Amino acid sequence: MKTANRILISIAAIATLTVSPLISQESADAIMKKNDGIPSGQSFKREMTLLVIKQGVTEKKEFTGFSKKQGRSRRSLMQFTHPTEMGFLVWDNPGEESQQWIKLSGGRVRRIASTDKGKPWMNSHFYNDDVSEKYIEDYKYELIGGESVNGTPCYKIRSVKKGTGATYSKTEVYIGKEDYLTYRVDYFEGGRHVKTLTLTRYENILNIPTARMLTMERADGKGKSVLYIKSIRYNISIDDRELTREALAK
Amino acid sequence: MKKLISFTVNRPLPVLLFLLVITVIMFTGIPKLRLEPSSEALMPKDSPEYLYNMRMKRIFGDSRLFMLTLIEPDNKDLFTKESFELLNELVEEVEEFRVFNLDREQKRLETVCSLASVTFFDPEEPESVNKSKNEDISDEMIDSLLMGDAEVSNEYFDVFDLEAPLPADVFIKPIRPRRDYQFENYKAITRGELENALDHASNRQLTTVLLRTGLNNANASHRFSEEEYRLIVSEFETIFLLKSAEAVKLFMNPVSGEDIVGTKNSLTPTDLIEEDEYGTRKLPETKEEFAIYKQRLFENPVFKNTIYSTDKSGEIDSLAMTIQLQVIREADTANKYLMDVITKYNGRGLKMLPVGVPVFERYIQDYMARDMKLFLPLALLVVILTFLLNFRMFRGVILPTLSVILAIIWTMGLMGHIGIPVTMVVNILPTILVAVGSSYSIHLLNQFLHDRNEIHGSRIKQNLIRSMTRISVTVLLAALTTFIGFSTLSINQVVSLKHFGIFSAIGTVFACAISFMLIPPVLSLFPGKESNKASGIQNAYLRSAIERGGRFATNHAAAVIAVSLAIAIGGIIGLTHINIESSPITQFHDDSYVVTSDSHVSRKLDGTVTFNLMIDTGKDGGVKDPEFLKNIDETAEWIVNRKNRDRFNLLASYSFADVIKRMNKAMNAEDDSFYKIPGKQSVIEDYIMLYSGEDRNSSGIPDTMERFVAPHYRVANIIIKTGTYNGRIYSTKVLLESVDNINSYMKSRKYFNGMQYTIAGQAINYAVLNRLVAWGQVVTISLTLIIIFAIIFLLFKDIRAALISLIPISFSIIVVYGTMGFLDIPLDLPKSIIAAITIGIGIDDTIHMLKTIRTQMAEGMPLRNAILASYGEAGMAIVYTSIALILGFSVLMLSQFKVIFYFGWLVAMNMTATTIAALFILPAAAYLFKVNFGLEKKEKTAPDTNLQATILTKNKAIQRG
Repeated sequence: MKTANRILISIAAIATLTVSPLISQESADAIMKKNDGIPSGQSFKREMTLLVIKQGVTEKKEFTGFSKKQGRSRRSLMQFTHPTEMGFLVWDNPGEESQQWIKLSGGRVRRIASTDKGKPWMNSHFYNDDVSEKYIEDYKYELIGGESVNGTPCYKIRSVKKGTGATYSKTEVYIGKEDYLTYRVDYFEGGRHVKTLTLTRYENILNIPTARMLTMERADGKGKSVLYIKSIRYNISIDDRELTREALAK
Repeated sequence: MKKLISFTVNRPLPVLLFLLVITVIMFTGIPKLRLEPSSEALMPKDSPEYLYNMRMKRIFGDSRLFMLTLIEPDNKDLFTKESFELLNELVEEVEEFRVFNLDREQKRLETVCSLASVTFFDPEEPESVNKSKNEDISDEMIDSLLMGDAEVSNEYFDVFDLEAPLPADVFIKPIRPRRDYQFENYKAITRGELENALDHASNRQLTTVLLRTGLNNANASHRFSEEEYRLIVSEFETIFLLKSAEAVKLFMNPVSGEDIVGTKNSLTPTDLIEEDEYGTRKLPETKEEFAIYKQRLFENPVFKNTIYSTDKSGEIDSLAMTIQLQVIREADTANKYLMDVITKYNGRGLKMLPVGVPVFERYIQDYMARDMKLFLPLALLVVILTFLLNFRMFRGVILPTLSVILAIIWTMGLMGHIGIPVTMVVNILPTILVAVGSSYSIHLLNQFLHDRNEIHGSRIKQNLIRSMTRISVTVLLAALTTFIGFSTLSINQVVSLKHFGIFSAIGTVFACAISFMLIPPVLSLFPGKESNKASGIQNAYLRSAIERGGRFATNHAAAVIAVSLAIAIGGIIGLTHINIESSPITQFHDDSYVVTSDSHVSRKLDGTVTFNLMIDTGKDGGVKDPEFLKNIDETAEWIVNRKNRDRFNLLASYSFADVIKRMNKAMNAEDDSFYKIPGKQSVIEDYIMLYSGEDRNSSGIPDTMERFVAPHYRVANIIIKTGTYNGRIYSTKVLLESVDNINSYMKSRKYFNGMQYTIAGQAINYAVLNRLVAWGQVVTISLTLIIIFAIIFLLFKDIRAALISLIPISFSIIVVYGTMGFLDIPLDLPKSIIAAITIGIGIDDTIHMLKTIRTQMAEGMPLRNAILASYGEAGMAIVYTSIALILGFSVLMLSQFKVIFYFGWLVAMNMTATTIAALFILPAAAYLFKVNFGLEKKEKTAPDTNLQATILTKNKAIQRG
């Protein structure tokens, strides 16, 4: 599922596909499979800005992100450069729980406990869980309608995690009917809409559709966080040693 | 005045219709009246303490929203499986208000409705209600910031700049508006059917709902009527809306309460009792499990006296929980509901003792409502009995009663229309209007009865006009002085006293105007028949007693004055011992729940009321500086040292330093030696970043830290707890002294030089009221006495008359306040209006007496004879109106509040003293100082033979008795 679950990792690794017009008859699973099939690049390096806006207080953070895919596994590292020197490492493998580490400003590295996956990521409106890879087989999908997002006709698909331990009770994903790109995700906790992610400013970079701006906004309007890709380079060579705890601690 | 009376007498029906129309209009305002128990309603909105408190609340939360509950075993061991199961039930019920689950709540509500075929319509855009547009930053600005074209520039709300506009209250709203439920197809169901359809948690809620709706005694086969079910659905709807706003912001408790747990890799808030994978709490059951649980409590020093309390041997003998509400408009409703939830678990092995400002205010509101229901009918009954005794005729009862009721409707209705809140002081206004308003009707009717036979001649209307005009000056004068007495309260800075002053003055005008618009027209329509019975007030024994007293006063004038002076000197000595007190705890009777629980809980949990010391470091992130944290930590420790505990009831203090110390200990394997501030700021910043506490309101500060630190980590807050200590209440006097003491300490601590700091909070509000009460008292008494003096002087054109007119009221004020000093009855808000009431109402007796004496003298009678003759005419009316007033005010002694009990008692005592002084001390003084009411010249220059004859006749009449 290449929706919000790929917010930071596979943020723009989505290929432009020519889609047949047989959209009305498609099942939710088929739609999500097409969404999942959009290429996201084997690796990338990007410069990003994170704006966190909370009740009138704005924080601006800058970081460099590296990500590399090996089969269906992915490892990603984010090194903050301003105003803090913290870092964040994520290892995702299918069928396993995502592993996450944080580097504190003093250089110490701490692992994020699984109970903290629903806690804010870097004091933003994204959760730690939002920055981990999601695997399509872990979710049940249901097509619940269609709606336009900023003028783009979209499928509205309900997604619920199988089993226990879900951060969200459900999400509602808006997938473009023409391009199968993710345009919006509504997040629900206890059945209540709590946050909305919108993906905008799509660009094709090396034929990989890349949303340069991701905005996570609270449903009650009290704050939002904006991620902006200043620059991105796909399919570059990244040494595996650059995506380890040792590299994080540097 | 004559023209006005002529109009009412000649056109009775239009006048009565006008009265009816105004009454209907005013009546519609009464349902709008709102009981206001908060101390904030009393505070002047421009006082620095109020302004600081308002700013502090916006940042650190409102102490009005904190409720503390002590949990004790009810003749059992606290640490048993059964007790914790019960506690868990309570916690789960409250937790539903903290974390909203739409699916669960919607299903619950739908089950309740569908089962009884109750329908409803959902609003079109359910979530739009809660959506507040984030206008802090525009999309263009976001673009500029992202592209690097602009730098982040956050506006800082300077809490210390009282000129800076206050940020608007950001109320958390429910997710949808209140629904309108339809009962057209209502199908009556039984309690058993409802219970069977609901799951366990919903049944838990149902029991609370039934308790609140008074249906808790209904058995399983009880079939709910439509009316009963409407109440149930309404309660479920209210609960849904409160939960959707996540009414509970913070819930510290011994079950789901969080501790900071540090491991090698994390620093996380963790439940004191963990849950299994299905979300079921793994409650301790065995002794060993409870021992581990207790050890967990002991590990966090902050838990002592917040989550648990110990006996002398150090064993945990009670637990505690704290609920902090969100800033929601329905905070009062939520507080009441949560109090009901908590107390529901009483008597089932656990004893719950909720305390704190919400509890005070709940009781104040309930007591005010009870008082309101009790006072008005009782006061009316007392006055009706007085009327009956006085006039012994139907009209004599119905007309004054009606005029008093109309005056109350007009006054309270006007307050409702304008939106004036009913505070504890304003709550006694109807009773006061009954007592005050009745006197105008008594005067008018008494005059009518006096002149009845004269009126029933050929020209009834003209005679009625003459009769009413004759008494009108006395009535108007009485109303004017009362109006002035009450009006002077309006200059008071305490808002509720100001409101009381304004509306009691307006009520006086209404009562007077209504008397003139009601009684003459009705008498014009139904003049009745001539009567052979003696007219007016008759009671031979009473009259004889008064006259004997009068003779004694004039025969022994010097002695009467000397004795009065001695009593007054005694009163002045007592007055110097008077204490001013505004603490809410003193409002309640000593054996009330509020007082007894506050004392007990305060002892167990180190206080029940908080105030704040707010310190501005002057720079963003300044609070994270280890030096600053060490300094506030030492300050917080100093505040509760032995001396401050003993002298100022300062019982506990908490600061951000406690949070950081706890984190440091947790991150260092719970080693006690690490319960201190780390030396490096980077370590503190790491802890804050690592601590992934919830920030449900998106403030940028984890919810559990919001009480201690402001956004930007620039301003820190030390929470100081006070309460009853060693049997001594936290009096406002002690609080003010403690504020001075803390301020001196802060000045002496060099580190804080150059930093701004202030002390504010709910408790400080009470203390500030003290100062305002004292100031208001001095100004009110002085101003009223000066105005009254001026009026009497203008009336009689005699400086001695004006001076002696002040004797009865001054005498009674000194006696009553002296008594308060000797009996250690503190002066508080309600009692601070006693002086104004005494002067405003008490002066009526003086004027009535002096005016009658003057009239007799104007007719040529010598002073002594004029005085004695006045007893027959004015003395009886004075006694009867005073009886009505004394009995009317005595009703207040049945109040649920101790302060109102004393108020009623003291005003009744005051009225008695004023009456005695007007009847005996005043004439004695007039006689002793040879007051002649400006009539001296006339008597000397214009002797009249007819007048001489009149004097002789009157003298003979007086001698005959």
